[in-house]
Amino acid sequence: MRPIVASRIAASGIAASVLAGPLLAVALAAAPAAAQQRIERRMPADPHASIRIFNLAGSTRVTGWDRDTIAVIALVPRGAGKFFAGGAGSAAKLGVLSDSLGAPGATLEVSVPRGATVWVKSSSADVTLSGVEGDLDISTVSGAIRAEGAPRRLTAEAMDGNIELTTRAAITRAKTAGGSITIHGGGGDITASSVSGAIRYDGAHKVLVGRLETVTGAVTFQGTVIRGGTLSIETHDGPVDLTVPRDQLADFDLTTFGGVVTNALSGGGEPIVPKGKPVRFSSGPGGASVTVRTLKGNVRIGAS
Amino acid sequence: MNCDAARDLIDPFLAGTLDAAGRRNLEEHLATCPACRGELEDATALRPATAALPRSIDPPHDLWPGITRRLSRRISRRAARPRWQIAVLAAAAALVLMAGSSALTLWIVRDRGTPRVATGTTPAIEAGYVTATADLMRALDAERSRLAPATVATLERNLAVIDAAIAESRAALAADPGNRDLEALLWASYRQKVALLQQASRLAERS
Repeated sequence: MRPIVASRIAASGIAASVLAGPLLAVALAAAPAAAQQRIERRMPADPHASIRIFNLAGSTRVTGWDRDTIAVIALVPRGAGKFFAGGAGSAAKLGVLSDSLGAPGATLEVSVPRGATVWVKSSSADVTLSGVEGDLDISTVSGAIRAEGAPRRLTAEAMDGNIELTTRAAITRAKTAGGSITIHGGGGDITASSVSGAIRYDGAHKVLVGRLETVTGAVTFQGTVIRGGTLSIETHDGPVDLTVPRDQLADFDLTTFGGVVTNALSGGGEPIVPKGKPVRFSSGPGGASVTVRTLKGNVRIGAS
Repeated sequence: MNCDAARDLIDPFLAGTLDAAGRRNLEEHLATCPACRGELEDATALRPATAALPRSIDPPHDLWPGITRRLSRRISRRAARPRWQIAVLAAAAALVLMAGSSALTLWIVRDRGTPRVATGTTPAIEAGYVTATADLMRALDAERSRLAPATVATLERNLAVIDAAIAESRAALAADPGNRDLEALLWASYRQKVALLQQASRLAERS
């Protein structure tokens, strides 16, 4: 569009000098829309289809719905790469393929059968999922991951992106190196791991097996561990803040070598310096097992 | 029906194998007993997770040296490796993770009350981790050009954080040899390093 507009302006003499400014402005404003391709595609899919989605940059939103169809709306700017979609029935693959890491980002809106198993791979694209009840496997480098709903099994992995899960899955695995992990729904078997990012769990559902580990990030746990369940928290020097219901039955085992322990659950809440000697207490027999281990972090435990 | 008898019936009740009379008795008891209703709730929450548990058994720790030797020979023969070898290394590193974890669990389960562990096993486990991370680093170096500069920077920044943690844990363990908690923290840092390198290898593989 821009070359045509420019040539007409050049050929129209005085009028052109008057109109050139506004016309150019209109042309430039219209350029991004014209350079962006909108693609809509629909494919039949089984209720439990396996669907792979690729989108390096931009954003990807996946929503589960009660139809036996995969529906895609893709907005692909010029230079973002080539849209593709293939497969049907039990397996499908779609996305935007780009050879350049600096390519502009595409936007994918994908609706999938609620029971589908979904893989999403991205580099800097933000990924959002909701309403999918099959297995979810999401991987990104620097993009953010957000998921909602009740997938069967959830794996979310980022290098530097933040992960926020408002989900209730039987098994949850969340891993990021520099990003943060926030789990609101929780319950079941949960592993969250980061290197320098914070981990926050405030799940409404009871944890069966919880494992939260970070090197320098802070860990905040606010929730309930099921009877017979285990919660293990390990940091190198990240502080640990643990809040459980006052009637939580558990054996607690808290160890820090260079930090302080503040026990407001069974003790008076005065900080003590255990210097590596475990602080152990039980709130009743037959409960859960809660272990906190840190080299230099402070540990606080309290009741909700 | 008392609580002990009711709790014995919860599993068959959830599995659908309890007969009609047992079901009726249990339901009558649950209607009047909050504690047993809590047990039922816990057991119900447990079922999806236990059904999804893996059925394989972790390999023994002594598999790792043999795998390492074979992989090391391949590394020395070929400077540039095809992508599948990175996958093999990543899988092998996963073996050492599982083996180290199993060994640690075994100590804890066997002797929870004793504050010290046999120090002779510590160097062997650490050697396994060191070998695993070194192999993964070599494999990753060969593929580093596939990663975006920002990803490499993130990787190196976080590896430095982990290496500093490993150094501090090792120093603390040297001052208090055999301390099980310090060992667990050291292994946790090594696990983080192996997992991060595996993650970077996967990213390089699909770039």
